[in-house]
Amino acid sequence: MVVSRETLQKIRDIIEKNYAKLTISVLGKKVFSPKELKALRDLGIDTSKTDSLLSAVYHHNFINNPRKDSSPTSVEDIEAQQSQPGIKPEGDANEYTVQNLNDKTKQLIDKLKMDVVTRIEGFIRDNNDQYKMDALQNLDRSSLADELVKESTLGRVKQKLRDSSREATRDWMRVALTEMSNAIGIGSVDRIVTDNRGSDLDEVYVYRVIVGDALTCKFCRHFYGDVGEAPKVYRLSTLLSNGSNYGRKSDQLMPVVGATHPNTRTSPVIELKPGFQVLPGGRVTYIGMSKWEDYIHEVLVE
Amino acid sequence: MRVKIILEDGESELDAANSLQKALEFHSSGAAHDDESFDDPAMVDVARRMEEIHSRIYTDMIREINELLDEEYSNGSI
Repeated sequence: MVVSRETLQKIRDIIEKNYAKLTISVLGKKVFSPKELKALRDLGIDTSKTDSLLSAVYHHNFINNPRKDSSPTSVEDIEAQQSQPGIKPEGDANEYTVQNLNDKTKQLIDKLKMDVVTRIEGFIRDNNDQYKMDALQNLDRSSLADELVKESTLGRVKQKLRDSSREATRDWMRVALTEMSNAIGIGSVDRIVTDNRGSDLDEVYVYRVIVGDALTCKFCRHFYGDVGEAPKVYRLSTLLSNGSNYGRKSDQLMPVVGATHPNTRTSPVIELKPGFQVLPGGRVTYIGMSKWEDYIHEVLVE
Repeated sequence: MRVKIILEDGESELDAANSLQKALEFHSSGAAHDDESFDDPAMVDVARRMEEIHSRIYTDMIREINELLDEEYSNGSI
């Protein structure tokens, strides 16, 4: 079975179209230019979706920081809450953040698409090569035998395509979880900054509660406090100045506002108000302002 | 760091080494995070939605490619 260059191009077009569908379904149509949207409509893609799941994550963590028992617990709840007039933060800064999160995720989806193109073309080229070798070794085989070989290699390619879904899902979830983690961290911090308008961010104290199971990695345990320990407390300015861990090697990772590492399950950054102490698990208790100064200097990670 | 391995009855050192290797690969692959994600149920639901969307679209894409290959094979292009 030798797949022609023309067929490979048709396969690329199918991948292109379906990853555009993925982008629209997750990020909405705003990440595409009007020209791109027209091209997608011409391909028969529904371009009407306006909502972005990633924007919803950002707004959820802005609105519900700290999270309460009454906070949304599903996508439907999130949509219902965010449909209330005036509940979502408005302004250039928030819009910039949402746009940046969506644009970056679109870039990562484009990269995933190229990886899928490479992987699928790889299967097909391998099979072409195998067919060619077989044909060279059996130059005088009958046309019936040749048809049987073709059918068999076609079946093999189709099986490899089906088998590729596990790897593709794993790659996609790495992107989805990491970008959700960025949106969670940034949304929660934007809320804290908004609540502390005019304050010195050196004097705003924050912590993060890690997911308390065996899967949490050593970096998150080290940076934010292990299970059973009180969460570590940072100045908000420290987390902000640590920037992003994108592109950093594991020995250069730092406690940050966004995703600490790929595949992380980031929780929101929460403000520790003056006079309060944070306990293991993230509960807070009032200790009074007289003990606060000593407490904060004792626990603060500089 | 040192790891102490206690062998079960009938388990060889090679079995233990294989199990340890698998566990390390599973952890470093990121798949360990697939089943259980965020501590916020709303975020767990968003992640589940993202996985569903991808799964549906990827399955459709593979079906379309397979149909194309069948079609090209039937008409003698391959």
